[in-house]
Amino acid sequence: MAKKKDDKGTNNPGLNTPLLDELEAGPWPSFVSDLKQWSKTKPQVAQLLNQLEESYENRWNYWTGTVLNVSGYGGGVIARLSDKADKYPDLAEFHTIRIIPPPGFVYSTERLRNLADICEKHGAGILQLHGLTGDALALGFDNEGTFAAAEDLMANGWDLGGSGAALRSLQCCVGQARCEMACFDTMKTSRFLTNHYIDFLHRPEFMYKFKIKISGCANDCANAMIGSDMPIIGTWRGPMQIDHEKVAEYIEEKGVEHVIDNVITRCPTHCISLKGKELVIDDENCVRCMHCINVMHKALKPGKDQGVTICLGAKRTLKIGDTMSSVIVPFLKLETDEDFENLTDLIDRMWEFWNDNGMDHERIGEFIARVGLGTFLEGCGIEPDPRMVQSTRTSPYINFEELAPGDFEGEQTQQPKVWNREPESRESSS
Amino acid sequence: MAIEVNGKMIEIDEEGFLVDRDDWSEEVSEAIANRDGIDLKDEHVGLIDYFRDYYEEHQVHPTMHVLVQRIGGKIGKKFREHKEYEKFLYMLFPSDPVSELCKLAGLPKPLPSEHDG
Repeated sequence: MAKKKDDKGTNNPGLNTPLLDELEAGPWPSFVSDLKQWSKTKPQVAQLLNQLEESYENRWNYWTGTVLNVSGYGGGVIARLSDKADKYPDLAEFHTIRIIPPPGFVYSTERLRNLADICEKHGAGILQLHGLTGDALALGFDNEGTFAAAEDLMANGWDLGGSGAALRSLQCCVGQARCEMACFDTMKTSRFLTNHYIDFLHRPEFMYKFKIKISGCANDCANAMIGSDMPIIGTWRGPMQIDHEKVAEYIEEKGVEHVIDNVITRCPTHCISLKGKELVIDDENCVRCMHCINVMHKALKPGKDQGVTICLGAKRTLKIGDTMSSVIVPFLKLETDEDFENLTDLIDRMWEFWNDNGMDHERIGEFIARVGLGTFLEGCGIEPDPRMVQSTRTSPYINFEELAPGDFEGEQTQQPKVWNREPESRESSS
Repeated sequence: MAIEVNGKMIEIDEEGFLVDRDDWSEEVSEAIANRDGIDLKDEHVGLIDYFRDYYEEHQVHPTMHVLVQRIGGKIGKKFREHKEYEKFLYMLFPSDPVSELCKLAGLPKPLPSEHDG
């Protein structure tokens, strides 16, 4: 959809957007082109573009937040008012509705048309589907439009939710529905958790937001590890499956050098070795990063005893800097109803402890950083495990003096009763 | 805007929050409740009193979290049972319990959450 420089903005005399027009240049599709097209149908979209242009010019954001709720719901509507309402009257109320997506974001075209029709009827008709937030956003409703649209959406089988200090709508990869790598049924898990915790999606009550994202394997297509408080990631235990014939075929086709360069040396724990035309994997040292499986996807497969790893604590900067998740439950089977009950029981316990003791606007990762993992595990009744590593040790040496009793080096001067050392700061945060 | 209570005009803003918070009395909160279409019963009045006491003590209105934890915590021991209390609150005040209660208790309007996105 590359646009020539000449026919920019010619069709919309009401638009004066020289800075935005720059975003139309280049080979990529542009939201400016789309919205310009759409502004012929909806006048408020032209005003939206003009206000954005003014924002770009003055480097100032003209949106103000406010509170608006559909009856019986605490979340689902993100209310925004424009400061420039006198200049752009249609933007005076420009609210966003958050719609809970289907698991795996798989829509039939009919449902998508239905959704588009409703949003067009009551609002500006702009849909923003599935950024990192995971929910379907419909933009541009005024107050009455919000209520009418919410009613229409619910009558058609959609549901709102997932804004404010609530459980956010769940996000998952396509999992076993479309992918051979998936270690568990992500879509079933996502659907089950959404139904089980639907109250928490509708009505915010937590200290702050809580996100659950579900990835079928360590490739993490749902961005769970960096983008959610509680990633549920598929893994396996025991040996991975090797098809030795396919390995030999692969080596014959690509050559030994290719295999050494791309598989053997890129194993983070160096647990693969090559013996003739056979791969030997030291499964005890395998960290299930899946790199070898991705490269030799015909020959290697995840092991047969599959389940999930549950982590905790990824977030963007707020009280402490950006963090990634760390393991809280190394392995959990997720197949029978009983397993799912175990999962919800675990989530309940963690939420309860976090909610009873957390401070305002504190994500669960920050809460753990404040009270310490030991306290958190004790509070939730989870057994500590050596695999709960927050960051790998960067130096194999420890400062021995600190740990040694005072008389280790001859004369005892003073006995440190409490080990009073600052926690090791992570290298990345400096 | 204003509403009439016992022959006296009480100043309120567009959404019904009191302009001068010293104007508050039980009759005033009843009048505002009528305006919003809520029939005040014992449960409502008890919560309004709780809001006023809490505000006097902390200089901040209770959040939904505080309500569910402190009052809901007395009803059931388990976390899931606390959540039932929130459902009950939404039954009493379908639009937005905390905002509505602040209005009826004559407290300032709650600020929108900074990070709702």
